[in-house]
Amino acid sequence: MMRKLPPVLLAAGLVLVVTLSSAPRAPLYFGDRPVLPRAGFLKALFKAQIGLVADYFWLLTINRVGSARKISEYRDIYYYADLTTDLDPRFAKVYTFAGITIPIHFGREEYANVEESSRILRKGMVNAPEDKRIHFQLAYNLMFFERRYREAATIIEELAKEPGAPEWYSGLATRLYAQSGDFDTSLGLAQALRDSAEDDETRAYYERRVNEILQERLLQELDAAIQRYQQREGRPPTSLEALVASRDVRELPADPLGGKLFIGEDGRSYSTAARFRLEIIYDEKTEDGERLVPKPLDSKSQ
Amino acid sequence: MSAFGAMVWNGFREARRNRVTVVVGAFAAVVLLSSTLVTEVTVATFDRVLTDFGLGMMSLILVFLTIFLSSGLLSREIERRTIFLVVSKPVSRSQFLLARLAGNMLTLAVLMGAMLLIFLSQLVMFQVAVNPTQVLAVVGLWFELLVLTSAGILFSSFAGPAVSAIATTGIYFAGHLANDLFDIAQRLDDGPVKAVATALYYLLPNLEKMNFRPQATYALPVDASTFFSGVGYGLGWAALFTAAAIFIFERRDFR
Repeated sequence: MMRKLPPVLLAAGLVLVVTLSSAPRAPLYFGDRPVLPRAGFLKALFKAQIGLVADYFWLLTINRVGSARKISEYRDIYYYADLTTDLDPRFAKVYTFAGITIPIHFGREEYANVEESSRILRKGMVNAPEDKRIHFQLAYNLMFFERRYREAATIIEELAKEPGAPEWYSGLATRLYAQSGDFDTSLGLAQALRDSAEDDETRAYYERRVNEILQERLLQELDAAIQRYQQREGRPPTSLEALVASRDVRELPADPLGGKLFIGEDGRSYSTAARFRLEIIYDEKTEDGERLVPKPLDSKSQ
Repeated sequence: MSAFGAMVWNGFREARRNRVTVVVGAFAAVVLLSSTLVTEVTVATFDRVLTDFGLGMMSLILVFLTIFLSSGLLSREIERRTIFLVVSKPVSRSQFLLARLAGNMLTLAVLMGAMLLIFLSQLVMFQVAVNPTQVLAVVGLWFELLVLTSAGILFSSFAGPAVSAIATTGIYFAGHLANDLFDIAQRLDDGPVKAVATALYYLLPNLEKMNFRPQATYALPVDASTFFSGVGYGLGWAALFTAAAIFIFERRDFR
């Protein structure tokens, strides 16, 4: 009996192992988040090798990006990056990498996972403030995903003060302040930049920017009048003159840049002196590659 | 060769004959070389990942080898009765104990040297900048292992190998978490609990003082005073543990 035991055990073991072997099970989820070890536990267990363990979870973070297909899978990246940066808060690369890869565009300026992306970037700004890419990435989120222009402008304005910052940062800050409707800050910043300019080119640029801000303030007032007209009449005005006739504006204002004001196809006001409004411009093209620019409502008003 | 030198050399030869040491050495080489694979799947943080994996694996493997080697150092000799061969010779017990300690540290130094060579050649191979902190981190690790070895020998002087190994592992974890203990103690209101926690911190060897791996991760310089105070602190604890081990070992009856 005992002599037969080893071959029987061997055969039984082989049968069990061969039939029950399978690919690893999918990772566990608790609600909609992946189950990951607690940072405190890992810190206590691997205090002496914390860099190694943080890097291991960093590699897993990268791996999630490679395998993510669904919006929820992109959101998982946040939890991995959050754990990695709990283990090593100074690991600056993780913040920007996760901040860029988490948000998903699902058509016509709609984005998912924006909150998680901004959360990890804000954490990075606290833990690795010297890494300016984190600041810029958060400003990008605020501009394009969250449309919180004023907050984005504040960050970009700070970044513009850094030595070696690109020159266009200051211009972007003035544009963002204007878009947020904070014309006083925008004007003040543009005037300060104009007055402190050390060359004629920069001075001319900010001189024009001051006028662009004044123009944008005007156009936003006209937009509000167009909105009022449309709500009352149930249809958009055909021209800016119609707004004067209906007493929605007292008179047609003069364009600070010397152009002619008109209503565009999208029902907003524009000026012939500037190709675009002073706001974030999306580089959109038609199907045959022509750059989309605002066109007047009717060609006669051009 | 003096009797002491012969004993040190003998300890080293024994460790080399010990299959565990050889296996660990081979394993370490494989692990270090396989960290090359890890760098295949990383982005933009190549230097850091290579450094962390190299130094981290080195410390993990060597710490557990140290605990294994040191916790059986004296107890195995006593169990096998080979201790009688030594105590009947004209060498003092303290000399014997110190020689075992030195033999162990020589074994670890040789293994560590080999691992450092593999690690540095990897850095050169991948054109990663070698910075002095990486080497300092390895030197700091040797002093951490010295503290652990002397703790292992101390436990081994009055307990069996299993108990010594568990106690030394405890010293390892407690030593690395000592900083946290101190932080927690500082946040407490003044009173007996705070006093006991603070005292406990000072009674534990703070192994983080010899851990320069976090600085190596970020290629930060380690100034001389930080390095030497860490190393001196490690030597101090090793001296304390060894003195206690000799004190116990001198008075033990081997019957």
